[in-house]
Amino acid sequence: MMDRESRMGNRDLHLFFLIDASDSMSYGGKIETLNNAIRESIPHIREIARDAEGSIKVHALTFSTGARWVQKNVDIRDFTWENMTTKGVTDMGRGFELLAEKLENDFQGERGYQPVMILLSDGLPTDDYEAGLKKLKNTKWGAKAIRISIAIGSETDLDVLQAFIGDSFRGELKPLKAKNASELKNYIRWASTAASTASINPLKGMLPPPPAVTPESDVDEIDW
Amino acid sequence: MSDSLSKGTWVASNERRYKVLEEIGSGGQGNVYLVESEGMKYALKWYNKTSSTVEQYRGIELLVDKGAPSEKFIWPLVIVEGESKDNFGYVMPLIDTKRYTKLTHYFGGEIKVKRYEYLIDACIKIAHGYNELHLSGLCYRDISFGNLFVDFSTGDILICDNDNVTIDNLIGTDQIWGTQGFMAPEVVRGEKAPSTQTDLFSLSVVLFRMLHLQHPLQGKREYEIEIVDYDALVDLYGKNPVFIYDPIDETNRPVKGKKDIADGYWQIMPSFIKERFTEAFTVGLNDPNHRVRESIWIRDLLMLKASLMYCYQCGAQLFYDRHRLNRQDNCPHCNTKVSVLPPRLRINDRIVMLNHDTVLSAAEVDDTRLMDYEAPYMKVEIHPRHPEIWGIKNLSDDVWRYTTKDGTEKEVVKDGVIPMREGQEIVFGRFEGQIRMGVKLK
Repeated sequence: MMDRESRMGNRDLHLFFLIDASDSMSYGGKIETLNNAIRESIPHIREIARDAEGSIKVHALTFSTGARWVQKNVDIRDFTWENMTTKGVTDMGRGFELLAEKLENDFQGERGYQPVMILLSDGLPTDDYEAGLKKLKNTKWGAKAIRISIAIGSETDLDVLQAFIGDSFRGELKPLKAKNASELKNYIRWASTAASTASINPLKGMLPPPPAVTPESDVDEIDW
Repeated sequence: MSDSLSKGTWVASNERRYKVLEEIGSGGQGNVYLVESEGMKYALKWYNKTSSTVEQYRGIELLVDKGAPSEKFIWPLVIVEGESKDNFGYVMPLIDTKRYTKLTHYFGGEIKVKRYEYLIDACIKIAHGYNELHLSGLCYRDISFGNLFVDFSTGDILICDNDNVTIDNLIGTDQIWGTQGFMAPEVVRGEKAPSTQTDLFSLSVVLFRMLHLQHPLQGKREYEIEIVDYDALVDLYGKNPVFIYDPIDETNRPVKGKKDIADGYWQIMPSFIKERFTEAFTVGLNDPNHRVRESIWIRDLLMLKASLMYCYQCGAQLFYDRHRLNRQDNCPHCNTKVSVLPPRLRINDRIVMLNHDTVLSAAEVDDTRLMDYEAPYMKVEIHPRHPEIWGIKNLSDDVWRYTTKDGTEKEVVKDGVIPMREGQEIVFGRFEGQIRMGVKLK
């Protein structure tokens, strides 16, 4: 029988995390919870990749004063998460711009499923986020993305997070509001797995709703 | 209690209690847990609140009452409930994942299969499984690689996630069922509810992919889509589906060097099976009433298995094709001309290869015993002291009769051997056959 080698012509799913690493994220254990939540999601994303043809590639950028890539195009099978550090302001717009530049430059002629973009923030942008967001949505990959946003705590500007989602997934999505650590963990797991599944199998229709949080697991966790 | 169950929680049916040991899977409808009751381990599917509907409950109740169509099915055994009024689940047998590989993992490249026999056996058993289900008035609705498991060392299969199964009389199309790439075009277009007819389309996709790896509708048209989304898929699988080997429409051929894994397999397949796949993905693509039925697949797949032979240069497995005998192809593995044919047995219009290691079931030699494909009926036996003498050994309870070279009539019962001889005629109980010896073509 033949060797299958590279002739399958599979496509990959690109999963982008856009993470707020401003100073305020260091209060109330937010960044620590986020670090753990992403780590806990990895095996579940791997399971989805195992069932899919093609692989899941993870990218992550952080924005604070300026924005930078922390992970680029890492196969989920090899993906590990380094603890993030925080400082500075919330240049969210710069984060969008950085992503738009990458999509313009590195994704020409690429084939893929609809990319999944997950925005996590606890505050208000300190730069012109609208200009950055416009650039992102003007890229072919940005426009076709399934965009999800998660508000960490109650200080977040939900209008900004809703603007990021825009008409993604037929305009059915709302920002998820993580009021505590267990909600944040649940939402990150849901966003990365359910959205990936929806991207790989769009004909199934709706994204399943995020999971209900088990009340008893909230005890002893930090509330924000 | 909530959508997820913690370790040590108990759920109960009317008769038994089951202790949750650990989560072993999760999906859109809920999670799957390993559970234990009275020293026996089972799997538990626990629906989340959204999926714990009255319809779902009645559906599972119906399946529990009807019972599994055969042992190929990981079927709901009993409905269980816990402390929460909002959730329920069902208990089913546990899959031995050391033995069985989920087909999504197989197609992800986790294991490779070196010989065709077990692959074809698995195809036969998959077709047979859905046949058993359909004969009991049920349809599956979401046939895909995500709910099929194969033991590639035996060809045994398991069909799981049977909460997809329902009575074959759905009309409404309000709920979307199916997995992209497996759904029939009329389901993708939202015109028809899943049914036995749409299951038959999904089955043909499974069988084509088992034998060719590539998707039958994924050629150039799929390759050229940059970002695949809902609209692109509805077009590809629903509105404008084209078979990659459509005899007339060449617009969706495999893409050379990029997406052409099927080419290597398609070129060695015998004509009859290519014609069947062409039927399935041309006429059968658009006309739900002209889809290839399971029994036809089973007959063809048995014939395909009986066509297996070897390249005598490199030992690779090839298929005998009566229609290509005088047009010798090169072996795709060692690229030398295939010029040696093994001994063959002809029964009516079937021609069965007699390789040194051939074992045949009754289904491969007797048209009337199509489903009798598991028990061996005959095998090729090489003389222990004279390796140039081959025979066929009777492994059945049928009494075989033949006339030797010197005109003596002989009977052969179980474990007896008939030596192979050019032109030898044999009466196998209810049918007759004739042997042709191995030959080197010029």
